[in-house]
Amino acid sequence: MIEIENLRKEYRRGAETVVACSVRALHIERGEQVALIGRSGCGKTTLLNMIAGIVRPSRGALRVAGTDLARLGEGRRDRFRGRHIGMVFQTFNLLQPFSALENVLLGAQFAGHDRAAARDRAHDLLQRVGLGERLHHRPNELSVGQMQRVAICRALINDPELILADEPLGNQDQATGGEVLQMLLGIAREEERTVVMVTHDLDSAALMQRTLDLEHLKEVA
Amino acid sequence: MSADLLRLALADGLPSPLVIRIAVAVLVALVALGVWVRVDRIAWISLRNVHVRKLSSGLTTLSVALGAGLVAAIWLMIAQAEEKYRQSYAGYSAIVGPQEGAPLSLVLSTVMNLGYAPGVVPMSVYRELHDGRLAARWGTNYAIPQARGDYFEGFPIVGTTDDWFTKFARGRDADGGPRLLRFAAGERWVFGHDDFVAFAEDLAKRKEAELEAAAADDHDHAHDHTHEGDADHDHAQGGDQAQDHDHDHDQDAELPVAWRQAVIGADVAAKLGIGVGDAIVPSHGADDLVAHQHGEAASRIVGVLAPTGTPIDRCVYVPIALFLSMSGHEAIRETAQTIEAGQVQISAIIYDAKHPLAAAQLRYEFQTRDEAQVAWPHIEIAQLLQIVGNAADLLRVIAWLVVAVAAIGVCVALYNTMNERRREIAIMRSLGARRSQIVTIILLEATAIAFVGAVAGIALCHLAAYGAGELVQQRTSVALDWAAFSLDELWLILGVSLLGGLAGVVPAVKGSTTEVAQNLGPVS
Repeated sequence: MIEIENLRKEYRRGAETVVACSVRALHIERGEQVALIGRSGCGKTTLLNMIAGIVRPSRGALRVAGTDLARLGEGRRDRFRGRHIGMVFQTFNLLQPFSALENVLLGAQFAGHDRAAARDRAHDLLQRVGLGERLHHRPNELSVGQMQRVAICRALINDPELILADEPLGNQDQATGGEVLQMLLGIAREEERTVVMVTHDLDSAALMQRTLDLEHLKEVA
Repeated sequence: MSADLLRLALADGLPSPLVIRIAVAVLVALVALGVWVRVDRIAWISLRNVHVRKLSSGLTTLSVALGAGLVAAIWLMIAQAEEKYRQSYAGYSAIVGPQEGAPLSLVLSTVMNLGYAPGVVPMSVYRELHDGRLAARWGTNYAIPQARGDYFEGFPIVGTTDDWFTKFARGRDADGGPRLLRFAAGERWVFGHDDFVAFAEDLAKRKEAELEAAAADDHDHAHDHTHEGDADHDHAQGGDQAQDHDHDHDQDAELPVAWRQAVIGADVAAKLGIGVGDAIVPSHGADDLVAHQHGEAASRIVGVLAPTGTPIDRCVYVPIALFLSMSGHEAIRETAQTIEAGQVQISAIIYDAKHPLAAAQLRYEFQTRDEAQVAWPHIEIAQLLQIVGNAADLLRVIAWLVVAVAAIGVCVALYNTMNERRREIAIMRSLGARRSQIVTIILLEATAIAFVGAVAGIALCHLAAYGAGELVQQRTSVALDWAAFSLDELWLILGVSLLGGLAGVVPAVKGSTTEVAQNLGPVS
């Protein structure tokens, strides 16, 4: 699903070149569930953004679902992301003006899916995570756990092959966060989706099939 | 049908305004369809964003509404004023009035009830036109005298003859007959040309008698002399009876009952809630609080005219003898010369002849005479509308500038939200939104604000026309039809919406260049 070789992201800061992320080699199979760990600032989120096509690598090879993202222009990367990748963020990044249902629908609308079909699927997903009674609630009317579940549904709306999660437990307590994470992994497993999760929490990482320490670019478990 | 229309429009070889409009409408419809196909999945996102920022969106919408409303109001005022003014002079081929004042003043006073009658014209001119030398030359359809200067509850009182009801024609009906004034209730009073002539001659005789008595007696109270007589003679019988009227001009003595009858216009009836059988008391001057009340001329309403949509609806018509006999009207009515000649003076004469060139020749006739001038209402009003049109063009430019300023307001308001919306835009991008979709969302927001503003502006304009209609009618004699919507208003909505869309370009470009990765991180 993901193939990386000598991938590097650099930024210029005045005369200085800052290396934000460097990965010698990484290979993740379709359907695999992988945790990325590492100290703060080692480039975990940058790597996730490159895999998502949000950030273009400075050099190296990056293939996701057989597509060389490093060679694609911004518009095509956006399209690719919309169709193949679902994202879950640390603070869930739900949009306040929109209801739970609308937040889930957004990705489908950007991808150009049929509105009625997308609405049915969003409905089903929210029912599946136990939010059938909260469809029209705004994010500020939901608990943290409920927001996280909405974020997971939003990531799944376009039926993506790859789910990227950046610290998806946020500041939740272990019990609630763990429960929702189990839910995400359960759905992903059922539907053979690949999950790559950035986390600093080793307990959460333990739920994944593999854990990679990005800082050292070597497998630690 | 539409093919016929197109063929007709192309008949001249060159694209007519109609063809251009049809082409533009088709083009706009196609573009709108194409845009909608592309944006229908994300339009609701724009609308939600507009809805969320209620205060900011509301204020910018209001500014657009004011600009669009101003443009619409100018269109409505000018278009309706032109139409009403053109409608108003139907039937007035020529107006013969005093030499004093401009022809436009004469037309405005006689046709539109605006301003004051500029002076008086001797009755001899009226006689020439009605049944004298000029009538013989051109064949008179009607020569109708008017005497003006008094009011009832702010509505002008016009002294005239019953030719006004039986001969004055506002064009032709469908059957080719003259379109006379119609009555909604009651009927006309009777006071014809012969009565008017008899009244003038009677007045001259009495004046002569008064002068003789004064010379014989040399007493100042000679003018208090009165004729004793039957005040209730029927004036429809002809001029002889006019001599028998009680012509006591003492301010407290009532004038003959047969003269004290009035026909009121439709607006007078509607606005004052009066009708047949009610009484009116004329007053000298438009302001009833300070005006002198002519109690001696208190009259009974005998008829109410059907609406014409012209200033005729706002007048009270009384026999010209009543008007001229009211106390204080002696100076208007007569001079030593006119009374000696058995004549009185009047404000104007409405003239229409059988000869098609009579109106033009009439003007040349009076260019060499000093007792009257001739005004052509269609020429004077066309010139007035030209002047008003020039001023309106300037107002239109100012109104469009207001719209442009409002559009800049939309631009600034949206631009200022782009900083606070960086995270929102970054999230949308992370969900797969392309830059072009972000641009579209913001452009649609600007367009939606402008569209709602334009529609609200037009609604405001019509509400204002409804609310200020009475005031406008008092000042301009134009009865605004607040419910008359024009096709131009659709173009206004389209134009303002496009302008709003343009105003969204800069914020849209700024929003679309939002750095995604930097704005996705946790908020502290």
